[in-house]
Amino acid sequence: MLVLAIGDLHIPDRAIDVPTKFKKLLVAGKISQVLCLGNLTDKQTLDWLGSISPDLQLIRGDQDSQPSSLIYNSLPRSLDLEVPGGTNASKIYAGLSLFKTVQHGELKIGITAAHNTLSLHDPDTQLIIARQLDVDILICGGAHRVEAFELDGKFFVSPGSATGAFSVEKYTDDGVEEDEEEEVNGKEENDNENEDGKNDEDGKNKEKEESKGDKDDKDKDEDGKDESENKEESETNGEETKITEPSEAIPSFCLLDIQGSVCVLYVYMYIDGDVKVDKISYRKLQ
Amino acid sequence: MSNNTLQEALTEVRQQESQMRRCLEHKGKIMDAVKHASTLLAELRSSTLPPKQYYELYIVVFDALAYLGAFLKDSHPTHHLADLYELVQYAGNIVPRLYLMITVGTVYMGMDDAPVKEIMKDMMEMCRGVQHPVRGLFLRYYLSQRSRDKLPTLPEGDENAATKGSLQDSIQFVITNFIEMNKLWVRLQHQGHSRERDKRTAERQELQILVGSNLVRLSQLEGIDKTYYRESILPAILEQVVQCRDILAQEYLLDVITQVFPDEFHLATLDIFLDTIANLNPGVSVRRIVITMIERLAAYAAREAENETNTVAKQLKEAHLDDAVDNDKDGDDKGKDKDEEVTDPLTAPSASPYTEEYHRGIPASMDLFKVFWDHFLGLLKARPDLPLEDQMAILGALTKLSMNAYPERLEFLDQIFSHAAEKLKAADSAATSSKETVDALLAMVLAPINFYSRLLTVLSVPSYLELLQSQTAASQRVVAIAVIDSVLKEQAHITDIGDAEGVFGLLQILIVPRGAAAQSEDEESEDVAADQAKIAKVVHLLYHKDPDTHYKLLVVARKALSAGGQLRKYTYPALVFSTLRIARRYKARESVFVDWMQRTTALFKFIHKLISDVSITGRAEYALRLYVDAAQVADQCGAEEAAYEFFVQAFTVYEEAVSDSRAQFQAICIFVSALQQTRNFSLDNYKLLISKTAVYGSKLLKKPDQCRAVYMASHLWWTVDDDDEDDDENKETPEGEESGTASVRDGKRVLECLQRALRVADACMDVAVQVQLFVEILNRYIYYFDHGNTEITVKYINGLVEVIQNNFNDDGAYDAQNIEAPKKFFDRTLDYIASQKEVDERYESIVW
Amino acid sequence: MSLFFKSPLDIEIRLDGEDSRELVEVRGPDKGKKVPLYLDGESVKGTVTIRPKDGKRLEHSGIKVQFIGCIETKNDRGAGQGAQPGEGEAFLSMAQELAAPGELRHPETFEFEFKNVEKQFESYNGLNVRLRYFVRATVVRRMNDVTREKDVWVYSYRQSPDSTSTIKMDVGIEDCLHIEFEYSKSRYHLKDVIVGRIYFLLVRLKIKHMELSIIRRETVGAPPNQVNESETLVRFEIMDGAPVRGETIPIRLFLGGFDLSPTMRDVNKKFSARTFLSLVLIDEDARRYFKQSEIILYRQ
Repeated sequence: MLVLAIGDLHIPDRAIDVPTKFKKLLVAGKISQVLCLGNLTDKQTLDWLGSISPDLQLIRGDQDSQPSSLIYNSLPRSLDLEVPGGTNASKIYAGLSLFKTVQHGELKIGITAAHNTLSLHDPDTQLIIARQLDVDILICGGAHRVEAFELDGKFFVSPGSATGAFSVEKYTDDGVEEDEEEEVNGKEENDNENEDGKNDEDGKNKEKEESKGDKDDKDKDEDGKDESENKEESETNGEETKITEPSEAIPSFCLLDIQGSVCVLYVYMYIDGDVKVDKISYRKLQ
Repeated sequence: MSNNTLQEALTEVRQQESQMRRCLEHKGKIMDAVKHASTLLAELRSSTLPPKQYYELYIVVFDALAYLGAFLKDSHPTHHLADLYELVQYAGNIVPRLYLMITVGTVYMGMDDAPVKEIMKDMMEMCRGVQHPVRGLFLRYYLSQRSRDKLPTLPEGDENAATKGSLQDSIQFVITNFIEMNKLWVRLQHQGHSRERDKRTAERQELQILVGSNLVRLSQLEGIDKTYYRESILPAILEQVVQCRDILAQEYLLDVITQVFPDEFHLATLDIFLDTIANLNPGVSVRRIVITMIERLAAYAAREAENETNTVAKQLKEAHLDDAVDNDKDGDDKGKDKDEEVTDPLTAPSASPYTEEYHRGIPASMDLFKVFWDHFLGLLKARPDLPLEDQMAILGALTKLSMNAYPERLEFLDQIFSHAAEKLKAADSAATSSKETVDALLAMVLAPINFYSRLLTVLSVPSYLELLQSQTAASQRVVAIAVIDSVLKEQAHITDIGDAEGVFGLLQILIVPRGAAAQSEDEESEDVAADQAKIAKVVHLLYHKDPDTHYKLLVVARKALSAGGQLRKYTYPALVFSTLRIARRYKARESVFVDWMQRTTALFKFIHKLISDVSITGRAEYALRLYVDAAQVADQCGAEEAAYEFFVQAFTVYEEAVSDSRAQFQAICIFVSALQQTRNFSLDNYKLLISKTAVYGSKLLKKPDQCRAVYMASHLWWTVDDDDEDDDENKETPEGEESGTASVRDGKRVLECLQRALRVADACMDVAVQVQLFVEILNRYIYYFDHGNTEITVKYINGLVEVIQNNFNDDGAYDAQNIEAPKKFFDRTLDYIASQKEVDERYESIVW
Repeated sequence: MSLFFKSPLDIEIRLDGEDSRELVEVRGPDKGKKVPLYLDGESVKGTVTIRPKDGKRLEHSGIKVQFIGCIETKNDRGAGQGAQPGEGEAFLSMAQELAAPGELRHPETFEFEFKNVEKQFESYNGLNVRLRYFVRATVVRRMNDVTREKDVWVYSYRQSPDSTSTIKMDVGIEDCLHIEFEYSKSRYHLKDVIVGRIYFLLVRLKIKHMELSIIRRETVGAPPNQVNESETLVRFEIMDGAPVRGETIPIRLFLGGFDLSPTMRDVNKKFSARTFLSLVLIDEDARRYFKQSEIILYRQ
């Protein structure tokens, strides 16, 4: 069965919409369950997720902090929300759990948003959560880049932001960018191929436990616009000033194909106007 | 009743037809067959059938006669058609007689030796005998149908034209038939009781296609050129149209003319056509006629434009909003190179047959817009009572024409819009608020939005905004939504400040709702939220690769959005995040902008104001979140003061506005999470902030919340870099700021926090909760133990394990059911420790 | 003729070339009968055969043959019961003696010939009058003569008139209807075609349709005992529905298909047979408005 893990949409505060190509991929009838990792902040997208599968599981993201997220007024009834009295939006919102677990085959999956657990990019903290929830797979929202790794026999997934929403994480800024800038200085600035290759190196250096999918993510850390901007930048500013724009998060989501004790994770990324897919397998140890 | 009549008639026709067929099949009995045909045709003399049923009957008769015609064709010249043509004329009744004549005559026309011209003339002349409108219309329709593929097309001078007829004869034939049919059709209106007027009008509408078919036929004749059309054909048709003075006929026929003849013909005869309009029956809806023609030519221009590439217009139309101004030159040059190849005069298909130059299909010598415009003004003079909605609808069509045919001539649009605005001002409110007028206006103001992808193009029409702002709030709203949808659909960046001002100007009605939408503001209906969300999305489209300009764009946006009052809470967050992006972009330009820090500071001031406005709108918790986000970015940009201030603001909001205990706990999670990621605070500032956070945690109302907040706060003294968590040597940030918080590792404070968390947990009365908290804290111990915090010794771990075990053993204090989850969690934790013993000898000393 | 006096003999009249000669179908009471056609000045030639019945000896007072042209009127026929028909009105009578009084034992055939007989009138079979030509054979006997007649038909051809005028008329009902109509000619031969048109100058009637009729009017006798009778030979619808002012309706009527007779005027001062074209307008209440105009028909 296919389970969709998607989150951090932040529409419209940080992003305009999910890429159309994603929307074309994600249609009704294929996916059994949708796990939304918070920050689902508009009704249209809620409706869209609901249309992908009636089994839509939501948790509370860090931005879901206010009743003004009117969308929760229109949450489908099937969602098993703990609503202590009344349908007031804030109460519905409050009813959204911070954690949730679902069982598929032999695998137990837990979902949460990272800010609840300080687990952002800290595998050891994530491990505690997994242990606490007693899950084999822990899917964390909050990180705006896709990530997947295995630790202590458990599988950890961050599906990233489906809209490539602006992230306040440090990573998108000084980390990659500055390293990259140095690299750019050392190479021919217009050569995008080289840039990609160099990004790859960055990835290796920075993320030791990063999965293959994540590496690809970093391979294409810049979307087309940024590349062309780089080009323009180089043309207009000349040789002496090389500026690399802060990279934008890449829109991404994950699909979990679960068969018994095996989960094949498909990572979908929207790069340069195309959808790229990577895959990684996890088998639960008996 | 008439249905029975129809059935009886049909039965009779079918019987006679089968007898007729029998006669024909047993050869030689042609005269008998004709007699049967004549008998069945007698059914068409009926006066009782309504037009629809008469048509049904006609169809059956037509088929029967087609069979007869085919037979006669085959038996010629044994039974010479010339003889038959005379013979059938002995039929005593005129309707059957003429149908038979036409049947024979048209078959005869197809024969090589036939005097086609004479036959045509004779049939046409004899048809005059049927003056009954319905019967006459069908008879002549029959003539038209049967002769359709037999009409001669020889040129006038051809030697055979004298007998075989020429194209001109055919044209004359069709026109005459048209004129006669139209007369009959119009006459139908004036028959019978006046109280059945409406019924007759309806019947006439059912019959109109019979009349119109002649014009279709005419348009299908091959070899007509536009000169002949202008000199002979159209005047003849229009004369009839004017003369008949019938409203229905005039409206219908002018519509048909517009539809069936080629665009080139219309262009060549526009003056004649428009002059005709002035002579129509005053009851005619001139509007529809004019609009149909305008729209037809507008569509034509649009189609022709597809084929043309080398026009400024094209570039203007296709220029996207994100074609940055600097980029234009480059793009233009490229475009021209390409276009020159395409429009090579030798290969260009449209230009070759004509010497005249064409622009979007319209001769360069012709100012199509002016022709229509003058006509429109003339019309207003001639018919001052023309309803306002009609005027607006015509102006709407002219808008379309102007855009399609002269996209670069914005002065035309201005002419239209200012005229419309003027008229609206002069008109009374009943007229201006009629639904039709409003709809027409709406269509008019919407059209350019949807047509020009550069909104600036629309905005550069001086009278556009004036006209738009004179519209009802509802209309303005629709336009605004269209603007948004078009902008969002294109997903093109808005890079120009003028564009941005323009766009937000168009959105004014949404930003500050008026009318019906405004009343529901308190309730914040879904619609309002949806509209505001769209505006927020537009904010993300503001972009310029120069961050200064980008910032200016956002300032424009804030200026516009600030009018939104409470609604700012929907739109400001987008501004905040857009501005945060710029902050990062400044940071990236450290080496270029010497004063990047100052610029960044300005940005954060801007953001500060934005968030505090959000806070005012009652969205305090969200403002808190935004402050924290801003603080994180400020920290990353090295703007410590701003970062500190943002945290302070967040704390203030926390203290003043966050009262719900759940929300408080969430807020603390957010604080911890954010502070843990900061790197550039001075140690003093950092310690101030984290201490404050820890205090908030310890003051939470509920013990479990308090406990968790406290143990989470422990992480604030134990920073973990995502890129070097196990690598103590690499603690310095790339910037090398030694006073930064990256190096904060205070094992002692961590231990204090955990101990404190334990004490809070210990105070919990519910054993199940308590033991759950203990296990959670145990896991934190192990975490720090793992991370080499030397303060966390085996002693503490063993002690906690023992406490937990004791708790589980004290089975009087809890229900086994409630304790099951923490127990399992505990077991899993012990399993983990056991597994760690294999890789880390330090774990050996943990025992239980 | 008499049931009681059975005729003791048969008379058969045969005309030369009877089988090959053109036959004319006679209208009227003797419908369907076909008689041979003769022209003016043509000889009438044939044989008369007398057959005694049952082989009996037959005495007679002479045998003769006559060629007679006569005009019969209904009145005449009704008046003289048993009178020899045609005798009094004959305008032509020729006779030949075939045999002197004597005796017949066997059938005997006699030839006869009336050379170049002038037949100045055309045969006619009308309502109240007929003009006939016939051959009569008579066996004269003491008690009662035995006769036998055989009709022939005569056409008389005329040269087409040198000049022919059109018929043009302007008629109307005040404030109601005003039409002009026109027939191309006033004289037509029998295979001719009538062409014309009607022009509507004023139409306030609710016209349903319009017909063109051909009417033959017979006039028999002389005043005061003159008898007139008309007969509509052809009805031909030329317009369906109501025209409006200014409309012109065409007329075309082929005559060849109808059984018409040439115009006869004052034939032998006995009768006339004239032809009229009648234009009839029928309104919605079935009222008929008509205008008749005489046309001259002739055989060409």
